[in-house]
Amino acid sequence: MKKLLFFMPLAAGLCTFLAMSFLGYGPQKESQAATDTVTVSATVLAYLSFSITAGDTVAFGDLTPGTEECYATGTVATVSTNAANGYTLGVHDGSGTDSPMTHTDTTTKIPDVDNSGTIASPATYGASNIGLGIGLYASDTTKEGVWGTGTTVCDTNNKYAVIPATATTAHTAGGGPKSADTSSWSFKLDVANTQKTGSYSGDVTFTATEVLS
Amino acid sequence: MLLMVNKIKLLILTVFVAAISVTPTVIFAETETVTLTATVNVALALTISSANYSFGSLIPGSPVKGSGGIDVFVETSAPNGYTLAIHDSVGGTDSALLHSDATTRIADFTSTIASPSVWSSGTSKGLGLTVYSADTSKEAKWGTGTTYNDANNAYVAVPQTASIIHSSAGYKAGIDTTSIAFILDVPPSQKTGNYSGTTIITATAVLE
Repeated sequence: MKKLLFFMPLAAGLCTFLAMSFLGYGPQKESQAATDTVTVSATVLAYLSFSITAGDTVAFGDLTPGTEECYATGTVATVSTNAANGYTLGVHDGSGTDSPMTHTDTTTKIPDVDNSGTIASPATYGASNIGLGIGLYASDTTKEGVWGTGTTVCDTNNKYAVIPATATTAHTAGGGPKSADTSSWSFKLDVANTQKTGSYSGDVTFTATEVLS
Repeated sequence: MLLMVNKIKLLILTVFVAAISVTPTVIFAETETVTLTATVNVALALTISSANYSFGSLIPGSPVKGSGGIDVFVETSAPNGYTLAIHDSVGGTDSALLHSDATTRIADFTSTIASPSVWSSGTSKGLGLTVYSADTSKEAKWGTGTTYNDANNAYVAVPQTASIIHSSAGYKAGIDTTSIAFILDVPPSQKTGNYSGTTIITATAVLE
Protein backbone atom coordinates (compact mmCIF):
# COMPACT_ATOMS: atom_id res chain seq x y z
CA MET A 1 0.00 0.00 0.00
CA LYS A 2 2.86 2.22 0.88
CA LYS A 3 4.42 1.46 -2.46
CA LEU A 4 1.22 2.31 -4.24
CA LEU A 5 0.99 5.57 -2.41
CA PHE A 6 4.55 6.30 -3.46
CA PHE A 7 4.21 5.59 -7.20
CA MET A 8 0.74 7.03 -7.80
CA PRO A 9 1.78 10.67 -7.61
CA LEU A 10 4.86 9.92 -9.64
CA ALA A 11 2.86 8.24 -12.43
CA ALA A 12 0.28 11.02 -12.39
CA GLY A 13 3.01 13.62 -12.79
CA LEU A 14 4.60 11.74 -15.65
CA CYS A 15 1.30 11.39 -17.46
CA THR A 16 0.61 15.07 -17.02
CA PHE A 17 4.04 15.96 -18.45
CA LEU A 18 3.54 13.74 -21.47
CA ALA A 19 0.09 15.08 -22.13
CA MET A 20 1.27 18.69 -21.92
CA SER A 21 4.20 17.91 -24.25
CA PHE A 22 1.86 16.24 -26.74
CA LEU A 23 -0.41 19.26 -26.69
CA GLY A 24 2.52 21.60 -27.40
CA TYR A 25 2.80 22.98 -23.94
CA GLY A 26 6.06 21.33 -23.19
CA PRO A 27 9.48 23.00 -22.95
CA GLN A 28 10.36 25.01 -26.09
CA LYS A 29 13.54 24.62 -28.09
CA GLU A 30 15.09 27.94 -29.15
CA SER A 31 15.46 28.42 -33.05
CA GLN A 32 16.62 31.35 -35.37
CA ALA A 33 15.82 32.32 -39.11
CA ALA A 34 16.86 35.29 -41.27
CA THR A 35 16.28 36.34 -44.92
CA ASP A 36 18.12 38.63 -47.34
CA THR A 37 17.85 39.49 -51.05
CA VAL A 38 20.35 39.69 -53.91
CA THR A 39 19.59 42.10 -56.73
CA VAL A 40 20.74 40.87 -60.12
CA SER A 41 21.20 43.55 -62.78
CA ALA A 42 22.70 43.87 -66.25
CA THR A 43 22.67 46.35 -69.12
CA VAL A 44 22.41 44.83 -72.57
CA LEU A 45 24.44 46.97 -74.92
CA ALA A 46 23.54 47.70 -78.47
CA TYR A 47 24.57 45.12 -81.02
CA LEU A 48 24.63 45.01 -84.77
CA SER A 49 26.03 42.47 -87.16
CA PHE A 50 26.14 43.11 -90.88
CA SER A 51 27.38 41.07 -93.79
CA ILE A 52 26.86 40.68 -97.49
CA THR A 53 25.59 37.14 -97.63
CA ALA A 54 25.27 36.91 -101.41
CA GLY A 55 26.51 38.84 -104.39
CA ASP A 56 29.54 40.46 -102.82
CA THR A 57 31.14 40.36 -106.24
CA VAL A 58 29.11 41.62 -109.17
CA ALA A 59 30.87 40.44 -112.32
CA PHE A 60 29.07 41.77 -115.37
CA GLY A 61 31.53 40.03 -117.67
CA ASP A 62 31.79 41.16 -121.27
CA LEU A 63 29.66 44.18 -121.99
CA THR A 64 28.61 45.26 -125.46
CA PRO A 65 27.82 48.98 -125.62
CA GLY A 66 24.14 49.53 -126.22
CA THR A 67 23.12 46.25 -124.64
CA GLU A 68 22.23 46.74 -121.00
CA GLU A 69 23.31 44.13 -118.49
CA CYS A 70 21.48 43.29 -115.30
CA TYR A 71 23.61 41.15 -113.01
CA ALA A 72 21.54 38.05 -112.41
CA THR A 73 22.57 37.46 -108.82
CA GLY A 74 21.24 39.89 -106.29
CA THR A 75 23.41 41.40 -103.61
CA VAL A 76 21.93 40.48 -100.25
CA ALA A 77 22.67 42.62 -97.21
CA THR A 78 21.91 40.77 -93.97
CA VAL A 79 21.63 42.61 -90.66
CA SER A 80 21.02 41.42 -87.12
CA THR A 81 20.57 43.97 -84.38
CA ASN A 82 18.95 44.34 -81.00
CA ALA A 83 18.23 48.01 -81.60
CA ALA A 84 14.71 48.87 -80.57
CA ASN A 85 14.04 50.75 -83.76
CA GLY A 86 15.76 48.62 -86.34
CA TYR A 87 18.45 49.92 -88.63
CA THR A 88 19.19 51.91 -91.74
CA LEU A 89 21.22 50.78 -94.69
CA GLY A 90 23.30 53.36 -96.50
CA VAL A 91 25.14 53.03 -99.78
CA HIS A 92 27.91 55.00 -101.43
CA ASP A 93 30.75 54.68 -103.90
CA GLY A 94 32.99 57.65 -103.13
CA SER A 95 32.67 58.91 -106.68
CA GLY A 96 30.81 61.98 -107.90
CA THR A 97 29.22 61.94 -111.34
CA ASP A 98 30.96 58.70 -112.23
CA SER A 99 30.41 55.21 -110.95
CA PRO A 100 33.22 53.52 -109.03
CA MET A 101 34.01 51.36 -112.04
CA THR A 102 37.44 52.43 -113.22
CA HIS A 103 39.38 51.25 -116.26
CA THR A 104 42.73 49.59 -115.79
CA ASP A 105 44.19 52.82 -117.12
CA THR A 106 43.15 54.15 -113.65
CA THR A 107 41.59 57.20 -115.28
CA THR A 108 38.62 56.29 -117.45
CA LYS A 109 35.39 55.63 -115.59
CA ILE A 110 31.95 54.32 -116.40
CA PRO A 111 29.42 57.03 -115.52
CA ASP A 112 26.56 56.85 -113.08
CA VAL A 113 23.22 55.91 -114.63
CA ASP A 114 21.78 58.82 -116.61
CA ASN A 115 18.10 58.17 -115.84
CA SER A 116 17.98 61.04 -113.31
CA GLY A 117 17.22 58.49 -110.62
CA THR A 118 18.38 59.30 -107.10
CA ILE A 119 18.22 57.32 -103.90
CA ALA A 120 15.30 59.50 -102.88
CA SER A 121 13.59 59.04 -106.22
CA PRO A 122 14.82 56.10 -108.31
CA ALA A 123 13.73 55.84 -111.94
CA THR A 124 13.25 53.20 -114.57
CA TYR A 125 16.38 52.03 -116.39
CA GLY A 126 15.35 52.46 -120.03
CA ALA A 127 16.85 51.08 -123.21
CA SER A 128 18.44 54.42 -123.96
CA ASN A 129 20.03 54.79 -120.56
CA ILE A 130 23.68 54.13 -119.84
CA GLY A 131 25.77 54.00 -116.69
CA LEU A 132 25.69 52.05 -113.44
CA GLY A 133 22.48 51.98 -111.41
CA ILE A 134 21.45 50.31 -108.17
CA GLY A 135 17.96 49.16 -107.23
CA LEU A 136 16.29 47.55 -104.20
CA TYR A 137 14.08 44.72 -105.36
CA ALA A 138 13.22 42.92 -102.11
CA SER A 139 13.49 43.29 -98.37
CA ASP A 140 12.29 41.40 -95.31
CA THR A 141 11.11 44.63 -93.76
CA THR A 142 8.90 46.88 -95.83
CA LYS A 143 10.55 47.63 -99.16
CA GLU A 144 10.14 51.31 -99.89
CA GLY A 145 7.66 52.05 -102.69
CA VAL A 146 10.05 54.35 -104.50
CA TRP A 147 12.04 51.33 -105.63
CA GLY A 148 9.27 50.15 -107.89
CA THR A 149 7.14 47.03 -107.92
CA GLY A 150 9.76 44.55 -109.06
CA THR A 151 10.26 41.47 -106.96
CA THR A 152 13.20 39.76 -108.64
CA VAL A 153 16.72 40.88 -109.31
CA CYS A 154 16.21 41.80 -112.96
CA ASP A 155 12.50 42.58 -112.85
CA THR A 156 11.64 45.23 -115.45
CA ASN A 157 9.58 46.96 -112.77
CA ASN A 158 12.66 47.63 -110.66
CA LYS A 159 13.80 51.22 -110.39
CA TYR A 160 17.39 52.32 -110.28
CA ALA A 161 19.36 55.17 -108.84
CA VAL A 162 22.75 56.76 -109.04
CA ILE A 163 25.03 55.47 -106.29
CA PRO A 164 25.92 58.59 -104.34
CA ALA A 165 29.44 59.60 -103.46
CA THR A 166 28.70 59.74 -99.73
CA ALA A 167 26.71 57.33 -97.58
CA THR A 168 23.00 57.87 -98.10
CA THR A 169 20.23 55.85 -96.52
CA ALA A 170 18.71 53.68 -99.20
CA HIS A 171 16.62 51.42 -96.99
CA THR A 172 15.16 51.67 -93.47
CA ALA A 173 14.15 48.56 -91.56
CA GLY A 174 12.11 49.94 -88.68
CA GLY A 175 10.88 48.25 -85.52
CA GLY A 176 12.19 45.89 -82.86
CA PRO A 177 15.18 43.62 -82.87
CA LYS A 178 16.07 42.11 -86.23
CA SER A 179 17.46 38.71 -86.78
CA ALA A 180 19.12 38.17 -90.14
CA ASP A 181 16.97 40.82 -91.78
CA THR A 182 17.75 40.99 -95.48
CA SER A 183 17.51 43.51 -98.25
CA SER A 184 18.29 42.50 -101.82
CA TRP A 185 19.90 44.76 -104.37
CA SER A 186 20.19 44.79 -108.13
CA PHE A 187 22.89 46.36 -110.28
CA LYS A 188 22.35 47.36 -113.91
CA LEU A 189 24.87 48.61 -116.43
CA ASP A 190 25.20 49.81 -120.00
CA VAL A 191 27.76 52.04 -121.67
CA ALA A 192 27.99 54.36 -124.64
CA ASN A 193 29.60 53.38 -127.91
CA THR A 194 32.47 55.61 -126.96
CA GLN A 195 33.17 53.90 -123.63
CA LYS A 196 36.77 52.83 -123.82
CA THR A 197 37.20 49.11 -124.26
CA GLY A 198 38.82 47.14 -121.50
CA SER A 199 38.34 45.98 -117.95
CA TYR A 200 36.67 48.05 -115.28
CA SER A 201 36.19 47.47 -111.58
CA GLY A 202 35.20 49.29 -108.44
CA ASP A 203 33.62 48.99 -105.00
CA VAL A 204 30.25 49.95 -103.63
CA THR A 205 30.04 50.30 -99.85
CA PHE A 206 27.01 49.42 -97.78
CA THR A 207 26.72 50.70 -94.20
CA ALA A 208 24.22 49.34 -91.67
CA THR A 209 23.50 51.63 -88.72
CA GLU A 210 21.26 50.74 -85.84
CA VAL A 211 18.42 53.05 -84.85
CA LEU A 212 18.32 53.39 -81.07
CA SER A 213 15.62 55.99 -80.65
CA MET B 1 29.54 66.88 -36.12
CA LEU B 2 30.48 63.27 -36.76
CA LEU B 3 27.01 62.63 -38.15
CA MET B 4 27.39 65.50 -40.62
CA VAL B 5 30.76 64.26 -41.86
CA ASN B 6 29.29 60.82 -42.47
CA LYS B 7 26.42 62.32 -44.48
CA ILE B 8 28.84 64.27 -46.67
CA LYS B 9 30.83 61.07 -47.28
CA LEU B 10 27.64 59.26 -48.21
CA LEU B 11 26.68 62.05 -50.60
CA ILE B 12 30.07 61.99 -52.28
CA LEU B 13 29.90 58.21 -52.61
CA THR B 14 26.40 58.40 -54.09
CA VAL B 15 27.45 60.98 -56.64
CA PHE B 16 30.46 58.90 -57.56
CA VAL B 17 28.40 55.75 -57.99
CA ALA B 18 25.89 57.64 -60.09
CA ALA B 19 28.68 58.92 -62.29
CA ILE B 20 30.11 55.53 -63.04
CA SER B 21 26.70 53.94 -63.55
CA VAL B 22 25.80 55.98 -66.63
CA THR B 23 25.54 53.67 -69.62
CA PRO B 24 27.18 55.33 -72.64
CA THR B 25 25.15 55.56 -75.84
CA VAL B 26 27.04 53.63 -78.48
CA ILE B 27 25.81 53.56 -82.03
CA PHE B 28 26.85 50.48 -83.87
CA ALA B 29 27.45 50.65 -87.59
CA GLU B 30 29.18 48.21 -89.87
CA THR B 31 30.22 48.48 -93.47
CA GLU B 32 30.66 45.94 -96.22
CA THR B 33 31.84 46.41 -99.78
CA VAL B 34 30.60 44.90 -103.00
CA THR B 35 33.06 44.69 -105.86
CA LEU B 36 31.77 45.32 -109.36
CA THR B 37 33.65 44.30 -112.48
CA ALA B 38 32.97 44.51 -116.21
CA THR B 39 34.84 44.25 -119.45
CA VAL B 40 33.64 46.65 -122.11
CA ASN B 41 33.83 45.19 -125.58
CA VAL B 42 34.64 47.24 -128.63
CA ALA B 43 31.77 49.05 -130.25
CA LEU B 44 31.51 51.15 -133.36
CA ALA B 45 28.62 53.06 -134.83
CA LEU B 46 28.70 54.78 -138.21
CA THR B 47 26.15 57.27 -139.42
CA ILE B 48 26.15 59.77 -142.27
CA SER B 49 24.48 63.15 -142.55
CA SER B 50 22.88 62.26 -145.86
CA ALA B 51 22.49 59.08 -147.84
CA ASN B 52 22.09 60.98 -151.10
CA TYR B 53 24.49 63.11 -153.02
CA SER B 54 22.79 64.75 -155.95
CA PHE B 55 24.73 66.58 -158.67
CA GLY B 56 21.68 67.69 -160.54
CA SER B 57 22.02 68.52 -164.23
CA LEU B 58 25.48 68.41 -165.69
CA ILE B 59 26.90 70.09 -168.77
CA PRO B 60 30.02 68.34 -170.06
CA GLY B 61 33.10 70.46 -169.36
CA SER B 62 31.57 72.22 -166.36
CA PRO B 63 32.34 70.29 -163.17
CA VAL B 64 29.66 70.08 -160.51
CA LYS B 65 30.11 69.52 -156.80
CA GLY B 66 26.56 69.04 -155.53
CA SER B 67 25.08 71.24 -152.87
CA GLY B 68 27.06 70.13 -149.84
CA GLY B 69 29.32 67.53 -148.41
CA ILE B 70 28.50 64.45 -146.39
CA ASP B 71 29.49 64.23 -142.76
CA VAL B 72 30.54 60.79 -141.62
CA PHE B 73 30.01 60.30 -137.88
CA VAL B 74 31.81 57.55 -136.03
CA GLU B 75 31.43 56.56 -132.40
CA THR B 76 33.76 53.91 -131.13
CA SER B 77 35.19 52.61 -127.92
CA ALA B 78 38.30 51.39 -129.70
CA PRO B 79 41.42 52.35 -127.82
CA ASN B 80 43.24 53.26 -131.03
CA GLY B 81 40.52 54.92 -133.04
CA TYR B 82 39.29 53.79 -136.43
CA THR B 83 39.87 53.89 -140.14
CA LEU B 84 37.46 55.07 -142.79
CA ALA B 85 37.39 53.33 -146.14
CA ILE B 86 35.36 53.66 -149.33
CA HIS B 87 34.63 51.57 -152.39
CA ASP B 88 32.08 51.19 -155.16
CA SER B 89 32.49 47.55 -156.24
CA VAL B 90 32.88 48.68 -159.83
CA GLY B 91 35.98 47.48 -161.56
CA GLY B 92 38.29 49.07 -164.08
CA THR B 93 38.13 52.77 -164.71
CA ASP B 94 34.40 53.10 -164.30
CA SER B 95 32.65 54.84 -161.46
CA ALA B 96 29.51 53.77 -159.65
CA LEU B 97 27.43 56.13 -161.79
CA LEU B 98 25.45 53.93 -164.17
CA HIS B 99 23.12 55.17 -166.89
CA SER B 100 19.48 54.18 -166.75
CA ASP B 101 20.28 51.99 -169.75
CA ALA B 102 22.07 49.82 -167.16
CA THR B 103 25.17 49.68 -169.33
CA THR B 104 26.80 53.03 -169.77
CA ARG B 105 28.93 54.36 -166.91
CA ILE B 106 30.70 57.58 -166.08
CA ALA B 107 34.42 57.07 -165.61
CA ASP B 108 36.44 57.33 -162.43
CA PHE B 109 38.71 60.29 -161.85
CA THR B 110 42.28 59.28 -162.55
CA SER B 111 44.05 59.96 -159.26
CA THR B 112 44.29 57.27 -156.62
CA ILE B 113 43.83 57.35 -152.87
CA ALA B 114 47.56 57.08 -152.46
CA SER B 115 48.01 60.33 -154.33
CA PRO B 116 45.01 62.65 -154.65
CA SER B 117 45.23 65.64 -156.96
CA VAL B 118 43.54 68.98 -157.26
CA TRP B 119 40.76 69.09 -159.83
CA SER B 120 41.64 70.89 -163.01
CA SER B 121 38.44 72.46 -164.19
CA GLY B 122 37.71 71.69 -167.83
CA THR B 123 40.46 69.08 -167.94
CA SER B 124 39.76 66.64 -165.15
CA LYS B 125 36.93 64.20 -165.90
CA GLY B 126 35.02 61.50 -164.12
CA LEU B 127 33.76 61.10 -160.58
CA GLY B 128 36.12 62.28 -157.88
CA LEU B 129 36.07 62.01 -154.11
CA THR B 130 37.74 64.23 -151.51
CA VAL B 131 38.10 64.44 -147.75
CA TYR B 132 37.82 68.12 -146.96
CA SER B 133 37.51 68.08 -143.18
CA ALA B 134 38.19 65.79 -140.24
CA ASP B 135 37.97 66.19 -136.48
CA THR B 136 41.10 64.11 -136.16
CA SER B 137 44.09 65.02 -138.32
CA LYS B 138 42.96 65.30 -141.91
CA GLU B 139 45.71 63.88 -144.10
CA ALA B 140 47.66 66.55 -145.95
CA LYS B 141 47.34 64.71 -149.25
CA TRP B 142 43.70 65.83 -149.44
CA GLY B 143 44.77 69.39 -150.05
CA THR B 144 44.15 72.54 -148.09
CA GLY B 145 40.44 72.90 -148.80
CA THR B 146 38.08 73.24 -145.90
CA THR B 147 34.66 73.17 -147.57
CA TYR B 148 32.93 70.75 -149.89
CA ASN B 149 33.44 72.98 -152.93
CA ASP B 150 36.85 74.39 -152.06
CA ALA B 151 39.10 74.65 -155.10
CA ASN B 152 42.01 73.46 -152.94
CA ASN B 153 40.49 70.06 -152.37
CA ALA B 154 42.37 67.12 -153.86
CA TYR B 155 40.36 64.25 -155.39
CA VAL B 156 40.67 60.54 -156.10
CA ALA B 157 38.79 57.82 -157.90
CA VAL B 158 36.55 55.69 -155.72
CA PRO B 159 38.23 52.26 -155.78
CA GLN B 160 36.52 48.98 -156.50
CA THR B 161 37.48 47.51 -153.14
CA ALA B 162 37.54 49.16 -149.77
CA SER B 163 40.54 51.41 -149.35
CA ILE B 164 41.33 53.62 -146.40
CA ILE B 165 40.73 57.30 -147.05
CA HIS B 166 41.19 58.49 -143.47
CA SER B 167 42.73 57.20 -140.26
CA SER B 168 41.47 58.65 -137.01
CA ALA B 169 43.91 57.53 -134.39
CA GLY B 170 43.48 57.40 -130.64
CA TYR B 171 40.60 56.77 -128.27
CA LYS B 172 37.57 59.00 -128.94
CA ALA B 173 35.41 60.01 -126.02
CA GLY B 174 32.75 61.34 -128.39
CA ILE B 175 31.57 61.34 -131.98
CA ASP B 176 34.34 61.85 -134.49
CA THR B 177 33.39 63.49 -137.77
CA THR B 178 34.97 63.29 -141.19
CA SER B 179 33.55 65.23 -144.12
CA ILE B 180 33.72 64.06 -147.70
CA ALA B 181 32.53 65.46 -151.02
CA PHE B 182 32.31 64.47 -154.67
CA ILE B 183 33.01 66.24 -157.90
CA LEU B 184 31.88 65.26 -161.37
CA ASP B 185 32.56 66.21 -164.94
CA VAL B 186 32.14 64.23 -168.13
CA PRO B 187 33.52 64.43 -171.62
CA PRO B 188 31.29 65.70 -174.42
CA SER B 189 30.85 62.15 -175.57
CA GLN B 190 29.14 61.05 -172.35
CA LYS B 191 25.71 59.67 -173.15
CA THR B 192 22.93 61.95 -172.01
CA GLY B 193 20.51 60.72 -169.45
CA ASN B 194 20.21 59.88 -165.74
CA TYR B 195 23.02 58.20 -163.88
CA SER B 196 23.09 56.86 -160.35
CA GLY B 197 25.13 54.53 -158.23
CA THR B 198 26.25 53.64 -154.77
CA THR B 199 29.49 54.07 -152.90
CA ILE B 200 30.08 52.29 -149.65
CA ILE B 201 31.76 53.83 -146.62
CA THR B 202 33.24 51.53 -144.02
CA ALA B 203 34.53 52.41 -140.56
CA THR B 204 36.76 49.90 -138.83
CA ALA B 205 37.82 50.03 -135.20
CA VAL B 206 41.53 49.86 -134.49
CA LEU B 207 42.10 47.77 -131.42
CA GLU B 208 45.86 47.55 -131.38
